[in-house]
Amino acid sequence: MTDSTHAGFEEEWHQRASDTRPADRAAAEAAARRFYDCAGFLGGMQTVLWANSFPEFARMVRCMDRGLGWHVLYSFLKTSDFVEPDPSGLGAALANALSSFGTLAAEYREADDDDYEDGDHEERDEDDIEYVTVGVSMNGLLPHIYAPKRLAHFQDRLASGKLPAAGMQRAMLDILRQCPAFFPLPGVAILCDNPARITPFGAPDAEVPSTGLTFEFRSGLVERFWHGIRVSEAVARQLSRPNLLTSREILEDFAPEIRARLIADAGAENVARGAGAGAVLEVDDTELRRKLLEAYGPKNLIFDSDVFPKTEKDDFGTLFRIEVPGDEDICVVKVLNATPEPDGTFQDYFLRVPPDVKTAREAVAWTFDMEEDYAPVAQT
Amino acid sequence: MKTTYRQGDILFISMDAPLHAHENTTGSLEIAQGEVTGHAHVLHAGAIGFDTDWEKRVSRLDLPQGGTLRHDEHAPIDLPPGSYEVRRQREYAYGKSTPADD
Repeated sequence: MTDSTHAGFEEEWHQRASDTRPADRAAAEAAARRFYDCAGFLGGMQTVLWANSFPEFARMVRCMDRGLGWHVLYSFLKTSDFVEPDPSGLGAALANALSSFGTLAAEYREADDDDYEDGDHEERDEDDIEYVTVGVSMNGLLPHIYAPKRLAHFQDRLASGKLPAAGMQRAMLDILRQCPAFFPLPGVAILCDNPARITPFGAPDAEVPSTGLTFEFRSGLVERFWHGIRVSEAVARQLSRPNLLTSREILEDFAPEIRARLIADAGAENVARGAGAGAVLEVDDTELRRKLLEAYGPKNLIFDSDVFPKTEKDDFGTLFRIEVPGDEDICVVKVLNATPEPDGTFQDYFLRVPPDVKTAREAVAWTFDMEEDYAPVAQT
Repeated sequence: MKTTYRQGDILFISMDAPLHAHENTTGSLEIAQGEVTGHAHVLHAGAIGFDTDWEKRVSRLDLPQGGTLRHDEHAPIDLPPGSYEVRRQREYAYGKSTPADD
């Protein structure tokens, strides 16, 4: 299979992602029937349920699936290779949006005893196949929802005649040519209709392109997604021009996963400096606060006007201590370079040290993995 | 108390026992290259025995005739004859230590 052929397949699936016409239900159901006929062990397709929106589709799957549907898809997955999730484009956004409903995204693996001891499992089925909901990251792996890169890969494999379950794969592709999601249960196929409208949110003149999409469904439901994260209308409005958000707004106005994404896009150092040390110290999420403090840098932290560190001075330097509510203190030692610069001044530098050091001497000694015996006979 | 010599972010600790070095050179040996500044700490000596750590950095020195440590941004330091352990400055980051930037 040539690269250009594969690219053509992928492009076709990306274009298909923007289809907002009502699904051709007769064609989709005919393809689903073929899928059941090929699968054999599903007992044939007795009933088709159509969901009018992604959330409705997710609800149906959640209510009706007792594990066998996933088992079928797992068997199906074993016939194919791993494909990385789609990185961008409307098709990827569609897959992310679908996956954000949680139950649609699952990781399959052989269960082992450690998982059961840790309680990290949902249910052991008779074949020891466990499924764990993992969210959006697995969207490229799921065969039953729309993911252009994976679907193009299926086409490649079909064309090369390498698929052991080609009938099922071909039927699955035909289903997804008509609608964005499909879930097979014994006797019952669940299919999802196309959205009636897909529009990017964000002002057209925004300097940073928004990656948000609004899906309007025929049921009247409207759902908004930003980087695959389901958001409210108010949040979508804020995210429509992310370049206008202040650092403080990023830290204070958003849910953790949105905040993490905004910080990743803007850069932790930019956000930390923009917000100021005082605001960073008040971040409730310990992991995030530490990340921002590290990005801020020890010197900037000491001299930020929002922070008033305690200081201890001796012949070896100055030790600064900043108390962080609910976390360990931040200790920074300022050391003078013993050799003067060409203009006669002495350059200083700042090093972070553990919170249990008490003096500048102890702090500098720690930086060389020494204790109270630190006393160089010469230093330059 | 151990006798120590410091040039910027490098510390030399005089060792009580003589070192039986695995490698030898004469003239000069680069002890550390500043990743930020690009300036190196270079030891000049007639005879230099040395060992390296798992990161291939000079970790111990044997200087039977002593030597002089030079760096573009620091005054030189004379090291008397003897054996030395070489330590690099580190920083703290939430339970971990990382090499200090130079």
